Amino acid sequence: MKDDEAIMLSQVASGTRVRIESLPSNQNDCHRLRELGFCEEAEIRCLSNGDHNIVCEVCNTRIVLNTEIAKQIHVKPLNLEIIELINLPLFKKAKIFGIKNIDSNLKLRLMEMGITKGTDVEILRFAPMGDPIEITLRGYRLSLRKSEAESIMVSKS
Amino acid sequence: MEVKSISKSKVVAIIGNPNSGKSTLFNSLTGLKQKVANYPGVTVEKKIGNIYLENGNEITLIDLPGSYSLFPNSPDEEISAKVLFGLIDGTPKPDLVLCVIDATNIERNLYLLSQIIDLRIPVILVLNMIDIAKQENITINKNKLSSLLDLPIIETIANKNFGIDTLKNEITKSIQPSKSIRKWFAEPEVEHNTQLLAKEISINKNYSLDVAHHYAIQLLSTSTINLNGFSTPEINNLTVKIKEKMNFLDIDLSSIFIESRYQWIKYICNESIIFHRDDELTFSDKIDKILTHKFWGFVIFLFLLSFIFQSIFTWAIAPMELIGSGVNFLGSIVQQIIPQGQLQDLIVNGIFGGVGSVITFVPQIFLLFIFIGILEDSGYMSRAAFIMDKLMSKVGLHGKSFIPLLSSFACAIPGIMSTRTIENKKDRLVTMLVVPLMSCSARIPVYTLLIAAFIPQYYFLGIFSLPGLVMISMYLLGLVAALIMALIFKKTLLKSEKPIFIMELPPYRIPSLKNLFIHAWERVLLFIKRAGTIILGVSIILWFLATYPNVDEKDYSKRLQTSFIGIAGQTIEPVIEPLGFNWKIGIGILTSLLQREVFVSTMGIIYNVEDHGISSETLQQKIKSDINPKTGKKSFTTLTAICLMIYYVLAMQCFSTIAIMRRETNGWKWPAFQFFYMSALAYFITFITYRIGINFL
Ligand SMILES: Nc1nc2c(ncn2[C@@H]2O[C@H](COP(=O)(O)OP(=O)(O)OP(=O)(O)O)[C@@H](O)[C@H]2O)c(=O)[nH]1
Ligand SMILES: [Mg+2]
Repeated sequence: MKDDEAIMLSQVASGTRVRIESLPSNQNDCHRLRELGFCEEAEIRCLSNGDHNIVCEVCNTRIVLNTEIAKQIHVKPLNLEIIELINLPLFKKAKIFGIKNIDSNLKLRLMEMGITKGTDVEILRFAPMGDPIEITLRGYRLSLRKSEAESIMVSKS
Repeated sequence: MEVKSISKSKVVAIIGNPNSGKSTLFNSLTGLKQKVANYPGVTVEKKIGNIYLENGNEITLIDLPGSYSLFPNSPDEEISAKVLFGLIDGTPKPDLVLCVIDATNIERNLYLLSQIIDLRIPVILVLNMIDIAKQENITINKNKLSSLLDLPIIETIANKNFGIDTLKNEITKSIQPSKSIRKWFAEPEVEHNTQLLAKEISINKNYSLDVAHHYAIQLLSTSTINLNGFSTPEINNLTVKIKEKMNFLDIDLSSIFIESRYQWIKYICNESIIFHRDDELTFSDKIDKILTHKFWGFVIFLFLLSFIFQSIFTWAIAPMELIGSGVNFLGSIVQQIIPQGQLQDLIVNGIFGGVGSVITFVPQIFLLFIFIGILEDSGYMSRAAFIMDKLMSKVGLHGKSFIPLLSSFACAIPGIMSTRTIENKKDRLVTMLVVPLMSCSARIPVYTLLIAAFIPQYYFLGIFSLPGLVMISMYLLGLVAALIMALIFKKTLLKSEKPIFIMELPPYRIPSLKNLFIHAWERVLLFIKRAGTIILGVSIILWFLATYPNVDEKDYSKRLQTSFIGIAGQTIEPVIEPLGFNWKIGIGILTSLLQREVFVSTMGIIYNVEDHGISSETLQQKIKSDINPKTGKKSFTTLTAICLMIYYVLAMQCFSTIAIMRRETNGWKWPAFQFFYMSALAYFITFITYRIGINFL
C-alpha cells in the first residue's frame, strides 16, 4: 500500500466509508478524538461534508467536526464488499457491518452477544451436517444457525 | 429503620455470564457443593448459602443462573434479573453484587457489568480464571481497569481457592453506596430522549432514576410495547412519540444503545488489556478439528455413547456380584442370629430381599455419573449440541434441547430443570415432555437384572458383547422415541416457529478427578439414601402384604398366592396379560410407579417370600426358574424380558418427575398429559413387540 493513497478527512465526499490512518499531532485534540471513537484503524462514514464542518458516523454515533480538525485527520477510502456472513469463506476475517431487519428480539440478542458494527468475525467451521456454524468474535466462540448467519452482514475489505 | 437493617444479615448476589465460574466461586465462599460443569446453563435456579466473615458477620450469598444481559431471554436469565431488581418474593434485594468476569473473555462479559453499573448497585468485579488468562498470554492492567470502571477488582482462581480471602475482606468494605456511574453515552439526541422517558417512568412507577433509565432503554430498543403490563398510558405515549421521532431522524434504536455500550467497552479494553495472540491453533481448536469433524464428529459421538452404556454393563458386573454375595452373606448371618419367626422373616425377606437387591447396583450408578461428569466437565456437552443441532431442527427443536436430553441419562429431574435455558416457551414444554423417555439411572437396575438373566454372553469384534448391545439398544430406543414424540408434539399440540439458536462454545478443559469423584459419590449417597428410606419403607409394607393374611400357611407358594398382594395381582392380571406379563410383574410395575428401581426390590421380596428364606440362588436365577402355575411354562422368557425392558424405557414410572413437571409448568395439566401419553405409548409398543415376538421366540 502506498502512502499517497491517504487523503484528508475534509476531502472525503459524503456517503463514503473510510479508515483512519493518522490523527492530529496535538496531544489534546488527539486524546479527545480517541474518546469519541476516532482511533487509528477505526472505520467511519462521512455523512455530509459542508463548508465549515463535516458530519461523520463513528460506530453509529454522529459526530460533527470542524474542517480545521478534519484536515489533520488522514484517512484511506475503503472499497468494501458487503456480503452475508454465511457467504464468507472459512477462516477469512471480516468486520460486522450490520444486522438485517429481523425479529427484534433475535437482533437484540445477537447484538448483546457482541455482534455489533465493526467487530471482527471469522467462521471457524460448519457442523457435520453443514448447519450450524461456529464463529469467533471478541475472543470467544459462538455457534449460530445458517438462517441466523444469513441476516448478519459483514464487510470484506 | 437503621437498626433493622443492621440486625438483618446482608445479602450478596453472584451474577455473571454463563460458565464464568459463578457456582465454583459460590462453593469456595460457602463450602457448599453446588453443581459445577464446563458448559453454559448449568445453574438454572437461585441457590442460597452463608458466608462467615472474619469480623463475625454473617452474609447471605445467592448464586444465580448465568446471563448475558439484564434484558432476559429465557426463564433462567429472568430469575437473575428479577433477583437483582428485588422482584422475587422472599428474596431480598441484594446489598452488593459480585460480578464474575471470565478473564479470557472480558469484552463480552463487561456488557452485563455495564448494565449493573448503570443501576447503581454496589459491585465488586471478580476477575476469575486468571490462570487461564495467563496461559493465553492475556495481560490485564488491573489498576487501570479498576480506575476506569471505578470498581474494586479482585482476581481469583475459583477452583483453586485463590483470592477467596481477599474477596471476603473486600465484601465487608464494599457494602456501601456505589461510586461507579454510567460512563457510556449514546449520541446526544438519543440520550436526551431516553432521559425524558426515564423521568416519565420514574414518576409513573415510583422507581429511582437509574432503574427507570434501564427500563427506558428496554422500551426503546425492543418492538414490544408493553412489558407484561409494565407500561402506563403516559409511558406508552411518550415511547411511541420518541420512536417516531428517531425513525424520522433515521436512527436505529434497536442497535444504538448496544453499540454505544460496546464502543465504550472496546475503549476500556484497549486501555487496560493486552492480547499477545499468536495465530497458532489453540488446544480447543485442535480437539474441535476432530470432535466436530464433518464425518468423524458423528462417529465419535455415537461411539462415545455406546462405549459408556456398554461399559456400565460390563465393567460393573464384577463389583456388583461382590456386593450381591456380601448382601447374601449378611442375610445368612442375620438368619442365624435372630430366632425364627415373623421378625426374621421381615428382615431377611423384606429388607434384605428388597433394599439389598437395589444396593447391588451402586457400582453402575457410580460409573454412569463418572462418565456423565467427564462429558459435562470437558466441554463436550456443547459440542454434542452443536453436532446434533441439524437433527434436532428436523424435529423442530434446536441443539440446546439436546443438553437436557443428555443430562437425563443421569436423571430426568435435572434434565427438566435445565430446559429453563430454552428461550421459546413451547419448545421448552416439548423438551420437558420428552425428557423422561431418555433412560435414566433408575432404569439401570431393571435393565441389568433382566439382561444379566436372559441375554447370553456373546462377543462381537472383541469389544461389543450381546448384553452390552441390548443395553445400548434400550438407550437408543429411548432417544428415538423422544425425538419422534417431540416431532409429533411440535406438529400438533405445540406448533411454533423455528427457534433461534445462539450458543456459546466453551473451551475444552481437562476434568478434575477430584470433582468427578465427589460429584459421583454424592449421587451414589443419594441413591443409597433412597434405598434406605423410600425403598426400605415400601419393602416393609410389601413384605407385610405378601405374607398376610395367611401367615400360618406352610405352602409358601400358596401363601403368596392368597396374600393381599397375590389377590391384588391376580385381579389386575387381565390388564397386563396381553403384554405377556404375569401378576408378579404387574405388582412390580404398580409399585415402581413410585420409582423405577422399586421394581427390582419388589421382585426381590416376592421371590424371597415365595421360596422362604435365603436360598443360595440370586434373584436372577429365581426369576429364570419361576414357573407359571396356570400354564405350567416359565413365567419369564427372553421375550418377556425384552418386553419388560421396552415397557420401562417408555413408561412414566417416577413420582418425582411428575412433581417437578407440576412445579415447572404451574399445574397438573401437563404432568397428567405426560403420564398418560407415556403409559399409553409404553403399553402399545410393548403389546406390538410381544405379539410379533411370540411368532419368533
Ligand atoms: N481454570 C479455571 N477453571 C475454572 C475457574 N473457575 C471455574 N472454573 C471452571 O469453569 C467451569 C464453569 O464453572 P461454573 O462454576 O459451573 O460456572 P457458572 O458460572 O456457575 O456457570 P452457569 O451456572 O452455567 O452460569 C467449571 O468447569 C469450573 O471447574 C478458574 O478460576 N480457573
Ligand atoms: Mg453455575
